[in-house]
Amino acid sequence: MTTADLPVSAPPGTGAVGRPLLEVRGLRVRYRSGGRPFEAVAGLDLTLHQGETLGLVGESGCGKSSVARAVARLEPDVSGAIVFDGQDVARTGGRALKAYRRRVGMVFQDPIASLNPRRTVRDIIATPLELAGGHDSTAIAARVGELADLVGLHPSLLDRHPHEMSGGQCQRVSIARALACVPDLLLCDEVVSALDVSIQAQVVNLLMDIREQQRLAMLFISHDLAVVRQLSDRVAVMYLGTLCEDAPVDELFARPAHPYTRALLASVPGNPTPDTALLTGDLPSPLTPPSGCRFRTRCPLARDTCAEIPPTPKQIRPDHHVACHFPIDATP
Amino acid sequence: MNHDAPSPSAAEPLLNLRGYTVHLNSPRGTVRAVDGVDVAVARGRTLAVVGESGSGKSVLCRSLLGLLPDAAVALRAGTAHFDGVDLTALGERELRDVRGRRVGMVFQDPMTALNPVLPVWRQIALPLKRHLGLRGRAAKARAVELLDSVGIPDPARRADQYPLQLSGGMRQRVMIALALSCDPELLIADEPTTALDVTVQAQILRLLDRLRAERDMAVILISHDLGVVADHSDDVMVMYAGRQAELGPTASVLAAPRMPYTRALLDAAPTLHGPRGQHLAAIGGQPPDMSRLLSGCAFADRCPRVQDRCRTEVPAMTRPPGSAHEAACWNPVPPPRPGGGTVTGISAARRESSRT
Amino acid sequence: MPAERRPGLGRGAWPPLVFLGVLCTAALLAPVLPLADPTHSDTDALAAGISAKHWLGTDALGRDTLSRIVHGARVSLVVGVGATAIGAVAGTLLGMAAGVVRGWVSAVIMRLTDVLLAFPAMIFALAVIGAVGPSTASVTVVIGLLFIPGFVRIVRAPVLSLSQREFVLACRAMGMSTPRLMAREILPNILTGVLTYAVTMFGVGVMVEGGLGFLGVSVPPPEPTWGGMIAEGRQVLAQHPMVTLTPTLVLVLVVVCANVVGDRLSARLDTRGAML
Repeated sequence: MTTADLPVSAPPGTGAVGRPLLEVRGLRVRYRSGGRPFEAVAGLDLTLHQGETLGLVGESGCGKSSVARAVARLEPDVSGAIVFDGQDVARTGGRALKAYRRRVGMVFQDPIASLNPRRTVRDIIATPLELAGGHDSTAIAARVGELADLVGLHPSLLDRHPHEMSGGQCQRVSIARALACVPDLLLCDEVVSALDVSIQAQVVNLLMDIREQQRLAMLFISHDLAVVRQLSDRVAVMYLGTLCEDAPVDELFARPAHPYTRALLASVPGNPTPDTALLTGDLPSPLTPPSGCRFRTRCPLARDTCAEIPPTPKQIRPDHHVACHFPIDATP
Repeated sequence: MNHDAPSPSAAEPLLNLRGYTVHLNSPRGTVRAVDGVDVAVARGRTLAVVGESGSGKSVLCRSLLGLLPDAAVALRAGTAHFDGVDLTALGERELRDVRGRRVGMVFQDPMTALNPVLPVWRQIALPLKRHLGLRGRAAKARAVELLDSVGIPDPARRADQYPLQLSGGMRQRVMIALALSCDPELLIADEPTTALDVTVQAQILRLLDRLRAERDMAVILISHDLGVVADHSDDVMVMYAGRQAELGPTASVLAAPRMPYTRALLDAAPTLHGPRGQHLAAIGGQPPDMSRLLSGCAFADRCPRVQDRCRTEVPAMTRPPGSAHEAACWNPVPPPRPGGGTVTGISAARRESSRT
Repeated sequence: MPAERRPGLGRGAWPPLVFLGVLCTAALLAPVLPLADPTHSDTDALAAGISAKHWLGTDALGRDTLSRIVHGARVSLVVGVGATAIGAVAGTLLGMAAGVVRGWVSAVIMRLTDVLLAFPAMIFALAVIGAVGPSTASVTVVIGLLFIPGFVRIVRAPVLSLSQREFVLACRAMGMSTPRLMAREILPNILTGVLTYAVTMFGVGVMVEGGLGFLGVSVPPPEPTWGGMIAEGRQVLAQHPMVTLTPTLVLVLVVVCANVVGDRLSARLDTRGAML
């Protein structure tokens, strides 16, 4: 029994990063806070190509997790288009939704809370296979063994419960579960944030290997810029529900054009940074976002225009988009 | 703030731990949470305590001030002299006078550490009343002054607000104001910025640096983030499985770590510079089960430089030849070749430039 | 605190368990046990004390108290177990539905629960049993209905927090249907809480049945019930207090035992993981 015996939902891409796999257009995610509605994501465009890893960074409350949950169809109040492999899945249901869910795997932040404390690791990894249907128990058992091997879990761990394992092992189980149905897209929501540095490196390496082997596209969400830099092909920076900047990873880290991206990079400890480069103040409440550009209240370069007109993303260099009226021109 | 020349106050450390040991009760037996720690902190200096979860760094600081439940502590041994008084010999009543008055604490999660139904100034007024006898108008004036000193804009208005009305960064500033309320000589900051965003973290860490210099306080900064440690400490103690792994001036430890664990930690962390896209240098395996008595070095099972001796004898803290700091290792990592430059992502040279 | 794992419920739970076990066994085997006929009057021993012939004495009509307690237990225990089962099953299902399916389903369930809780329980029981006639079945169903709101509340709170947990999100992201999610992922995590509460409610059920019997709306005489026995004893309370006290004592013991076992169970099931 090998992977090939299981229904591979779609022929894997041609291998080259090219065709867009996921296109998010004008995404809005709304919540209610004490009866007051507010937008956690306020009109977001993202494109993720096949086999590509897109890093999505931002501070807590910027809506990056809501984006992942909206793409996983876990948010009830969503508008905009989520085009996956040519089909808008934002409002599909029934059979089409089930098929879509098999092609998208998701891994969450909290390694322990991501797993049902009452089930064994074996049951947990088998769940998506049982839900997919069409496999007998021996095929499922074989596939679980294969997945455990893929994520580096010793077979003796399969009969344990989540609380009998370490955080890193639990996160491996979550990854195995997300990979069970051979997805095309893996959504990773802060998957290494709760892990210690040494374990974090193990999981990052595992994700890099799996991405190669399975030719996966990945949406990698994190607040940790160094981890995002390590894993991503392209990086998108979010602030308070809107996209600030979106560029290939080396371009973004070498020539950040949005003042927020600059400040974010300057804040990472272990970097020589004059105090003046740091942001002052805190993130405004998403209940009452600032008018115009949402970053203007903390932006060192803000002018009158910024309060009036919300900036739209424009291309400043090939494949480098910035939503700012006065992007920092960093000619090398 | 250059601490290279030993000042007279540095000769007499404010806090001095010798053979400090804490064992905890757990359902799986006694856990050796802190095992024979020798360390000292002087006034005006910051000691960073670094380690992964379960390394004992938080237990160390909490047990010093008697903040662990009695039922949880199985054994406490060694001495902990604070300004000449052994904290381990003090009763709860005497400890309470040290806590808050002479030693301030800042915790990771300001939301759970603050009382949600009291306005901010009243929480700060509690220790002012208890330790300094300030009440009413005087207490409020002092509270507003403290809020101002930790960089809270419009402190008079903020003083009347409740913790829920403040952002995470503001709450942590309030916690710091609370810890500073009685002019402590030592500030213990237990992962003070882990719950905060990176832009706010930078503000808070710089605030702690400023306050330390202004007040000539000693600071113990507990952190898992080597970047934070590199930028904001004078000395660093690396802990692994409850034991000291490495101790010394931060610049020396991070630039030329001798204990393979420190080296591995530095290598495992991804950075904003240097190569990317290759595998990270992960440390294989898991930390040891701390309820087991380890016959040798705690890191032996994961160590690339392991020798037979490492599994049978516990290494003591010694200064390897050619090193400016101490490490507990039988087979220390050779120091980097002079002129070869540092290979760490978090280079100590950059740190020096940023602090002067 | 001892470091080793405590395997059972602890020593304190054993006396109540033994007592409840003996009572249940006796009630089950009542027809084949060498007991006196609970309705037969021994005219030589009216309201008699303890004797070799009547181990727990007799009541005012000379009926054997031990035999009546054992036969009465058949009613009390059946009602206690039955009512708890009805409350637990219905309450758990409704509580889970209210926790998982938001919107109007949750609103309707919670409002109905509030109404049932706000209604005076005894008046509700008296009215319904008065309308349909007293029998073991009707008493059981009525008390079971009264138990439902408690179970709904006990279940809904943890379900609400569980449904925010990431493993539930993960299952939804895999396309798991809501009924399956409730049965396979959520139910196992709340069962211990339900079980603990059910053991305590069993004691309450026995007590309520006693109360109804005392008021004369439980299973009608001459069938013995504990509540009925207490009520009948009142007439000779001054001269022969034991006639009333013996069944009262048994009733109280059952309720206390159920509480002790419930407490032990919750302590045993809740404490897990390290202290820090």
